[in-house]
Amino acid sequence: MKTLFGRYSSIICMTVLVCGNQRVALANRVKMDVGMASTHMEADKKQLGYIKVGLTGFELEQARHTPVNVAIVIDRSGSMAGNKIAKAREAALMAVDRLNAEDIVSIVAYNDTVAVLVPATKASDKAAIRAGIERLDANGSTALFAGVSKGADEIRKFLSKDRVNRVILISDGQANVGPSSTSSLAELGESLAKERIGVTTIGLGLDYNEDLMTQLARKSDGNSGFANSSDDLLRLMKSEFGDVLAVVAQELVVRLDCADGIRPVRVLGREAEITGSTVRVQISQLNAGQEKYVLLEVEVPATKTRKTRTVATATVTYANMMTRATDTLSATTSVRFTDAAGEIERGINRDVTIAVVTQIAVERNKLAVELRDKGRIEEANATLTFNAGYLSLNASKFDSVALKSYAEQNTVDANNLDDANWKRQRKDMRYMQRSSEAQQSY
Amino acid sequence: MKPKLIVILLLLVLIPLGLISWLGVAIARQEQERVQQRMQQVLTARLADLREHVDRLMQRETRALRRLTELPTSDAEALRDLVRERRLVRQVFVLAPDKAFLFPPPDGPSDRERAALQRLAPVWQSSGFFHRDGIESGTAAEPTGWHTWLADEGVQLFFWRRPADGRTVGIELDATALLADIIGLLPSSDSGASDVPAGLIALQDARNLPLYQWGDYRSDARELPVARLALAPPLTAWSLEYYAPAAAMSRKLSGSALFNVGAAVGVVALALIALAITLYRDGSREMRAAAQKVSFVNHVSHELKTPLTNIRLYAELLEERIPDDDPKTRGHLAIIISESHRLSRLIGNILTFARHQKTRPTLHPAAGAVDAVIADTLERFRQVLEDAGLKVTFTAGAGRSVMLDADVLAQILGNLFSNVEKYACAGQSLEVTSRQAGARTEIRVSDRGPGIPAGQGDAIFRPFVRLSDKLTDGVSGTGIGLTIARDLARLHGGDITLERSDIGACFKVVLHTPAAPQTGAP
Repeated sequence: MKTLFGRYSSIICMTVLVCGNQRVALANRVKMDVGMASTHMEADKKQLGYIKVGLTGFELEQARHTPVNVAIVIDRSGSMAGNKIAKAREAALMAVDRLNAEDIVSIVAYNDTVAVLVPATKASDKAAIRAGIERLDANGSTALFAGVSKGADEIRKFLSKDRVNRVILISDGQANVGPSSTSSLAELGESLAKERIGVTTIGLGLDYNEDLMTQLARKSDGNSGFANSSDDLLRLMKSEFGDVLAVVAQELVVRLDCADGIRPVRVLGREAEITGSTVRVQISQLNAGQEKYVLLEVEVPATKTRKTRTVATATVTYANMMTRATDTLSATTSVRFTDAAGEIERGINRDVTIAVVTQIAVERNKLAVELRDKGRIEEANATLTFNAGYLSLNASKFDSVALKSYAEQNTVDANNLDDANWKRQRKDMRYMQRSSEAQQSY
Repeated sequence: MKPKLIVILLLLVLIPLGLISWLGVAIARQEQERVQQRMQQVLTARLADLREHVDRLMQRETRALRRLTELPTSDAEALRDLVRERRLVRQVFVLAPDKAFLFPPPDGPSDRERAALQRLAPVWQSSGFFHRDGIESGTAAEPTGWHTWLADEGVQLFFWRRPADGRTVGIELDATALLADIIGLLPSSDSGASDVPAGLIALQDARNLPLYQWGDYRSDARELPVARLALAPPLTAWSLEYYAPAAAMSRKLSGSALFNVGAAVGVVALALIALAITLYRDGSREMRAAAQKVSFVNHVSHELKTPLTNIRLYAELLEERIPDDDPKTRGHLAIIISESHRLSRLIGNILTFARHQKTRPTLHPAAGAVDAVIADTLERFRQVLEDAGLKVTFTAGAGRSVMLDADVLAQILGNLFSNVEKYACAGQSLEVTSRQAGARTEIRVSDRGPGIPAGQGDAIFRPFVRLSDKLTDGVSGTGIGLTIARDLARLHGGDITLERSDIGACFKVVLHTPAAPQTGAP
């Protein structure tokens, strides 16, 4: 049996043991930052702490992008008829224009049944691909599961670790033929993630099932988008291709081994596997210049003042798309205990704290959706208003534009809980939640 | 006569035509059923082809799973990597011979593994765990098998192998991923594919809902599949079903059969119609010819009647002028008169017959006594009967005044008497009996002649029938006497029948003779 480690062609292990922030950086290597919300914690108290493993993609050389293998899966059910399908065609054509001869593309359309309009092919014969896209029209029902399955099957024909493999799903409706539950589609996403196939889901209009689409994206670690109008579709497709074409690292596996006495509680915003004191998180792709992070909540036992405790060792392995090698990074973080509140305040790590605030705000935003789903509008409104206050307080404290804009977003959410706007707002909230959790580029 | 002929000819055409059409339709229907059955076989064979694809995938996956269970199971992290990397592997389990879990490690399962242990409770709780419920295969020493059950999310699959050391290695399959693989394997609906069916093929789940379907046919109301085939174990809960538009299928099939039947029926119909037309034309030509003959005879008879009447008139005038002492001349004259009577009776018969052929004659009833008419007629025949040596006995019993057509009765009796004179003079006796009861008068005319052979009783009443052999030898006659007599009797509301008698012939004449009104003119 091949073990995960057996495949590594090169292992770069740089371990620096310093109190506080750990930084590993090298040209054409992913940059890793491991840190806690503060260098100091309160002594003699069992408490929760947060460890952030930040990963930043290196910059790509100009005019060269990572080869991609994309399947554009388009809902052609009756509801897509008219402007929507026209825009979907336009978006697909635009996407094909951005591909190089080395890239692979397939176009799949589904309603009750699935049609492979363009089987997986090198993007060199663009005329034939365009002809396939032009055949796209709309009618019938929505066999979403089958559509994605067929899209994945097209990807599989050229499945390679050297390419970015992605299914891009554009749908405006509820799945109603074949497996149609959120859990089925989540399972499909999970199984595709094992093959390194990500599914990006772009919801169009106000009638699609945002939970299903978001879960499918989340479990396969693809992106998720919400196109309120068909005009947004082009913008989202541009962003998605900008994202796909800028991938510098794939198959990132973040492993956190907690030190003795430290108990991992949960990972915020991402799918994680927690076994004993080991935490394992997979991130499918990392783009040039983009930061994605893993935020782990741990339980730290009461410790005497002026003592230093190793909290966790983070190890990241990833496939470097530039060097075609598998790299490994490792770093350890520790915390010092103190009685002085000022010391804790002085040791605050701005980046980590902003991430923590963001993820906690996302969780509260999700709670608000749950409350609103149960019809408890007042409570949902209170939750969102509180969230906005919490975010703006931290925004001004850390002078964070991102937090400020998320605070404003929460205020908008709070003001649109009425029946007239909820359908649209819920989709917007789900999109923002997913985008924030996965540090999506758009 | 003519409408009857047309009806008969129509029946002649329609009955066989109907029979042939019915037969044809029955054959066509049978043919259609046969073709449909054949079609079903073809479609089932097609489904079997598709199933073979899925079966092969399953066999491949089963072999792969089996290889996975053969890997060393001591390294927990390696087993976890299996779950992380193998698309179809949702969870791995290793059980000690005493069924205690070796993996997931009982001391530290991950959150996912804990969830999997709960999810697979139906397996651990199954009474025939890995035995009765599973589909067993492999060698006796190393049994392998499947355990499948139905959860809310659909079919759940669990593969297990028990190596010789007694451990059990089980793999929970990701049924969703398996379905995605099968969908990838099955054809899609794009028009580029050559084998897109005219119908719709669906992969159905245990609840009979489509998991995946392809083809051009859409049916809103879920109709029954034309063909259905369950997948091989362990996926027996899923089936392949073929839906086809029933109308289109039968239309396509019966087109040629219906054409064949239609052509056959058409040809037979044409032949029958041609035959009927020929028969009709022949028949009507014959009838026209017969009518012409009758009309010719009619004309001739009329032409004969006038001179005959003159002969009779002058002969009778002459009879009065002949002195009584010239018996020889008187005798000659009597023969002239009697023969001219006979001739006028014959002409009368011919005219009556000819009239009957054309139009139904009308009755002119008047008050009178039956016996008087009988006596008159006998008187007219007296000379002839005497000459033939016949002794006449008249037993009168119908003297009441009734409504009757005396001319008609005289003609009936004349024909009967003439027959006795012609055929039964050997008997030397003519007996006439009359009887009356209510509005019914019966007259019996019997002789002691050779009689009518048995079985000929009906034939003698048909026109132009003269009994052959010695009876009629050397006897002249038109063969229409009895026919006319019976027609006239029937016209008079009665009939003439041949009575059974030991000697000679006995004719019974029945007439409808209502009583004459009391104040009526004579």
